[in-house]
This record gives sequence, structure tokens and C-alpha cells, in this order.
Amino acid sequence: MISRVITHCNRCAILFIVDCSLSMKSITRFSNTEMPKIEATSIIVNHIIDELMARATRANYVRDYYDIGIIGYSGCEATSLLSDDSKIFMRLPRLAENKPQPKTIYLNKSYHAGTPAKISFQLHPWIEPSASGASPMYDAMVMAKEALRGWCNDPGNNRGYAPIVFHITDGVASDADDVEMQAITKQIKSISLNGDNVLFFNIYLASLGEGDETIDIFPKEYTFATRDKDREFIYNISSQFPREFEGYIDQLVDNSDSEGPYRAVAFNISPVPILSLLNIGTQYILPISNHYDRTLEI
Amino acid sequence: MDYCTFLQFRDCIRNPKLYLRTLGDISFDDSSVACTEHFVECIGELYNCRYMLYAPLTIDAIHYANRAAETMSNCNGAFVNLKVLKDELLINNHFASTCSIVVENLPHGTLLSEAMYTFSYSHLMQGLNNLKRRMAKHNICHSNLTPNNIIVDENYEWHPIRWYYAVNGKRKNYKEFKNLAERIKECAIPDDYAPQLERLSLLNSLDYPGKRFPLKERRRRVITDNGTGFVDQNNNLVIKDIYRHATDFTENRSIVTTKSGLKGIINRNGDYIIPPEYDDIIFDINSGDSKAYRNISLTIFDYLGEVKM
Repeated sequence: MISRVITHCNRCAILFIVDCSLSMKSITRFSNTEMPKIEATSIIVNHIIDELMARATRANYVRDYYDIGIIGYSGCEATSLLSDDSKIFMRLPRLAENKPQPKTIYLNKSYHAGTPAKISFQLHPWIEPSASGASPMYDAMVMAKEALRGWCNDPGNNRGYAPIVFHITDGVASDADDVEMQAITKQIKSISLNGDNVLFFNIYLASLGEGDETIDIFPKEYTFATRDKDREFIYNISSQFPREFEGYIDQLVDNSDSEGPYRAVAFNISPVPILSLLNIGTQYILPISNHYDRTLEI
Repeated sequence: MDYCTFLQFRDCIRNPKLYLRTLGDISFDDSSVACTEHFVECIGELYNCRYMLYAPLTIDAIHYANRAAETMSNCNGAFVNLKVLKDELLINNHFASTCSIVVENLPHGTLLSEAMYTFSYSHLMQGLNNLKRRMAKHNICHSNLTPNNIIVDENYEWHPIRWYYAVNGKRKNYKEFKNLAERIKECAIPDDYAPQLERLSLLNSLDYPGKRFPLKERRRRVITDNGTGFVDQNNNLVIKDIYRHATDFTENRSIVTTKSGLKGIINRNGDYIIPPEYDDIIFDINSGDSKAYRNISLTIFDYLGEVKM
């Protein structure tokens, strides 16, 4: 049985680290649709934020359950994409006050027997797709490490849950080698709060016709294709899921033949399974009720 | 608490007059900002002298720096001058309003990580041995001697930087010097190859079989008797050595020159993004656009190789 509740007192932080470098202009196949990787990235981030906002809304009022941060890296620096000042995290109600106008997104879908269809849905563009310059991934990780430590050390969060980091990239840093990147991501994963470590979740997007386009999520073990070292690197820097999540993930993915813990990584896939995982900790949107902040046991 | 954040130091770099107590006139090269485990650093110029400034990112950082400054105070100027300026950086947070800054003067020269590919073996070993003797004489251990932490001057003398972990004694020196010697043996120009041409700017324009290049985006250029190609981290030839010349990969793009002298652009798989039909190509890393010239005509391609105009 897993029982976690995110409330005003037991808060959580979600940090996105987004690769906005030039190579993200390459085309990828995301959700059966060919598009630039940066566009897929913005769909992932915007979708997750919209979902989190919806789950924290009660009677048109956004509850202060999460802090959200977005760090983008390109050129020679990493910056906060949510605010102009130096703060990385923003409280959800404040983010909701500045909600942009929703935009319509179109994706391809295959229905029964392969019937193609185009589906449309609305997302709020919390970030816009824009890619240029080199990939200062190491700088972004340093900035993230400081922001996460600051959040965990804040007395107002001392009853909260360790933050979740979503890093979306095509896998190559321009300011550090693989050894340096593994060291800094290890430091991030070692940040803890109330006995839980930061969950460092990587989402890798391969270039169409260049990288390994196989779709996979929460792999237990990974067989590395000899050509795609970027994918191998992303797998190696991702967190292992704590044991308590295994039963739930077993239901999501069919990985019963493999040994070992699940990895917090998604290759070329939409964020829907990730949101299901977050569902473990958040309250379901309940019908109108007099009881707020009720614990839901799964 | 004597430390700051990366963002606070970055604000300082943009406005030194506002954030530095005594070094307000310094002008920073903000493209040189880099982070290590305990410090964030940037190169600055003050009164025609170059310095490296280090801001502490962790609680232990200034403790290390103070220990190093005390250790080096007995060296009588044999190495770079390291100073800890207390309360130099103005910050505003809940815990403190200032923090200390570490300053090192920066010698002129070339980083060993570049010099080891372009200087001769004997000159590099001469520099290594001289440094070994100086450090033994002063009984000091740098604790972080790597090719990126050593500057080689025009007289082939080595000047370590980033002394903030220095301690008394010779504990790690032997192992670090052994590693450096092995790297030099692997990378340096053999003495009988180009002994007269050790000026970096000249050598960078010369390619010769066996010349060793750094790993960039998991690809390393190799020059064989056939031509130029690329290997991966495991030295597997992933792009055939069929080119006259190639640039290192930047954002998955390398400008290649074929044996016939025409230029194109390839990705890390060796596939052409822009076919090798042009006399010259200029790649803009910000926009991803490439200007390709053939005779007097100009074609502009986008990052994906589609013609823009």
C-alpha cells in the first residue's frame, strides 16, 4: 500500500531543466507526430504543468501544493524561464495568476486497426519552443542543485517531499564531459528531504533517422545500442525509483522478466505515464465534498 | 555563512561596482564563467592584469582557500599569488550580507590541455620536471593538478592555477605527476616531428597524421594517411577518414572538406546535412543557419539543411 498526500503542509517542488540548444531544432517523432524536439519539449512541460495545476484546483481556487521551476539552457548560460528575477521556483497560485492564453496542439494518433486520426487539445504555453546556441548542461545542473538545496533547506518546506526534477534533452553537453556530468547529477540525486532523495527523471528525445528512436519508459535494465551513446548517458544519470514505487510501476509497464529497480527515464515518449506516477502522491480531484485534504490510499 | 550562490556571483559579474567592495573596477570576461565542486569562477582584468576570481559555493570552500593561502604564504612568490579577500562580495540573504572571494593572478600562456597536443614531448617534460622540483623545494601539494589547471608559458614553464586545495607536504604529487607524464607521452608531438614549429597559432593550422584532438560531443577527429575522420569514445572509427579536413562537432554539426576541396556539413552519424558542393561554408551556432558560397552565389540553409534563400 502506498500512501502519500501532497497538501499545504506537505508540499512538493517540480523542477524542469530544459535543453534549449540548437540541436533541439532537429526533428523527432513524438506521439506519432514529426516535429522539432524543442516543440515536443514544450508540449511535455506545458502538459505536466497544466495537469499539476488542474490537480491542485478546488472550486476555481488553485491550492498552494507545489512550487514549479523551469531552467532553460542554451548559448553560454542557464536561466529561469518562469521569472525575470533570480528566483527559480514559483508558487503554484502565483503561476496561475499569470496563466497565458491556451493554444491548440495537434497530434497524430492511431486508432483501432491502425486507423490514423488527428487529435487536438489545448495547452497553456508556459514555455514557448525556442532553440539556439550551445548546450551548457553543466551550468544548468549547478543552478538546479542550488535551487533544490535552497528549497529543501527552507523551513517552510520541512514537512514536504523531496523534489522531482524533469530533465528533457537530446543528450549532449557542450560545457562538460560525461564524467563531470555524472558527478554533478549524482550531487543532485543525493539531495534529500525527510528521508527521500530528489528524483532525477530524464526524458530523452532522439533525432529522426539519427538516434535510437525506440520508445521505452521506466526500463529496469538497458541494452545499449552501439551507436546511441547519448541514450546510454541519459540512462546512467537517471535516478533509480525507490522500492515503494515498484508495485505501481509494474502495473504501468510490462517489465516483469527483468531484474533490478526501475529507472526514472523515458525515451521518446509522451509524459502521460509520468503523470500517472505523480498520481500516487496527489489527491484525486474529488467530487464536491466537505472534507479537504483527505488521504487517499492506493 | 561564508558562501554565495551561482546566481549571486553572476549578478556580481554583470555589475562589479555594485557587488564588490574593493574590486569594483574589474571587468569580467563572462564567457569564462565555470563551476567546480566548491567554487564558481570567472576571469577578470584589473589595471591591465588578469585575475581569476573564485566565489565559494559551499560551506567548506573558504576553509579550503584559507588553508591554501596560509600554505602558499611560505612559498615566497614561487607560484601564483592566491589571496582570500574577506567580505569582498556583497550579497543579501537571510544569513549574511557579504562573503569572501578568492583571487589568483593569472599568468599568460596556454592551458596544458591544449599545449599537450601542440608542444613537443621534450619541452613538455622539461616543464613538468621543473614544476616537480619547485613543488618539492617548497614542500607543497596542489591536490588538483590536471591539464586544465596548468598554464604553460612561452618559455615552457608550468604555472598551476586553482590552488585553493593546496596543502603542505607532497602526498598526491607523485601520482598526479605520473598521470600528467603519461598523458604527455600519449599526446605530445614527437621531438623529431616539428621541433621548430611550437607556436600554438601556427600548429593549430597544421594537420598531420597522428595529431591528437580532444573529444567533443562524443566524437574525436583522427587524421590518418588516408585523410580525416572521427572516432567515438571507444576509438571505433564511426565516420570514415575520407575528408581532407573537418571541424570538431558543435551542436551535432561539423564542416567537412572533401579531397576535391569542396565543403559540406555532416552530423555525428556522418550523414550529410548540406552536401559537399560549396567553396566555403559559415555555420552560425546561434541561429543554426549556414551560409554556403559557390563561385559568386550564396545559399542560406537552416539547421536541418533546408534552403532558406
